[in-house]
Amino acid sequence: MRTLKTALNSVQANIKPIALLSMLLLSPSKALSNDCVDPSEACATVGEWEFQVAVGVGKRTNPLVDSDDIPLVVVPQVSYYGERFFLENLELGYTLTESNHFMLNAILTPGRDSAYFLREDINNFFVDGVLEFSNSIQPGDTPIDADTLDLDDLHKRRLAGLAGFELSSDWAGLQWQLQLLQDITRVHKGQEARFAAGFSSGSQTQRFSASAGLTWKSDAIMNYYYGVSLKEAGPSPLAYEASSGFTSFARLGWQKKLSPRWRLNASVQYEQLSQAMTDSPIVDENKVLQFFIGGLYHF
Amino acid sequence: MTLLLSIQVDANALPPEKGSLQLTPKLCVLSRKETLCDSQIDIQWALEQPLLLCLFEKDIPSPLMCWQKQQQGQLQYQVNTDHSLTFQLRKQQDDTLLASEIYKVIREQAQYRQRRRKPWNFF
Repeated sequence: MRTLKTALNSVQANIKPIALLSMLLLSPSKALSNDCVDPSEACATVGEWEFQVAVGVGKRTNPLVDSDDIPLVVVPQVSYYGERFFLENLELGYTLTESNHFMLNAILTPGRDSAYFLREDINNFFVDGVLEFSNSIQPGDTPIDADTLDLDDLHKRRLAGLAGFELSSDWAGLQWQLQLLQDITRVHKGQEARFAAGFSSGSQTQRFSASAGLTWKSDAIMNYYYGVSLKEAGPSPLAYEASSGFTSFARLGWQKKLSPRWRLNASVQYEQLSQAMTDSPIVDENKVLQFFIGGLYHF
Repeated sequence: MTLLLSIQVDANALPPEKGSLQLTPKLCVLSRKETLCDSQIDIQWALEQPLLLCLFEKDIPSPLMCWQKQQQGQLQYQVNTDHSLTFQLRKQQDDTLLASEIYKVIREQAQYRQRRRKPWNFF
């Protein structure tokens, strides 16, 4: 892990915001070569906005103490692909280079941890970068432990903006993606590395998918969101300093095409939280569960 | 080859009577989301001498309109098409081609690129 952290620190040193912006703006805008000839699951039409909305029944659990789960009822998604620029909900990116099997992007993406804490956080409208309405995270009014600590009494856990690089590949039906990210908003100044791999199989009308992944978060991120300072803990013995840690997830999905615009969509996801999170006095679950079943409409 | 030959024959068939045929508009550009050109075309023709003639759309056997010994004429014609249309002015007597003009339908060329690969995508 020291090696990864060293690498991320190196990334931190190298991707200052101005340098990243310069890279985005000054890179040659020559169109990328690819095998795309039609819009599809794998190919997007350049210069066209796409809107999708999933409507159904679902839920994402909230691991914080005394917090409500997040209902998934209406989950919209908006995306736009330029020749190199792209937007997928809150994620902005610029494709630096691409071949038929690899893609290297510079990306700006929101951190995900603030969603557990802030009712109005922009992440509360998203599911892994996907827009989601009707969240109702509500830190409770009841004390966490022995009337000494309340989520409302903690310092505000703000949303951080992460920038970095994303390398992805599609090889023999297996897709994987690696993101190396650094907080550029100086919220916690931490680093994050995300890796996931998955595959899908099926026909034109029905498709199954399975994926799994790991996310590493630096101690700066973990401590900012899940640590409890001496000041916050007050006289209680609940002060906690979080270290870096891994969370892992596994996910199964199913889609069935009903018409050119409608699909049935179902998924279930299990996320195992890191010990650094579960040891925190403000976390009382060691996992996050998510499921959804509903219709998906493509505008 | 048959088509080329036909065009050559038509071109050679132009008679000494000079005629002009004007389309307004003469071009329709379909965006990537449009499939049909829905437009009203103003068709005007003029000849050096009065003749019995008819206006045809090349793919339709029957004439759109005929005129009796006139030197000029006009027609407002509604089109709803996904392809180019050729309008022709022909003599009634022997079907001689007097003038021809094309209403062009062209499409904006779509460009595609790879999407991001996101194994954890909700969708």
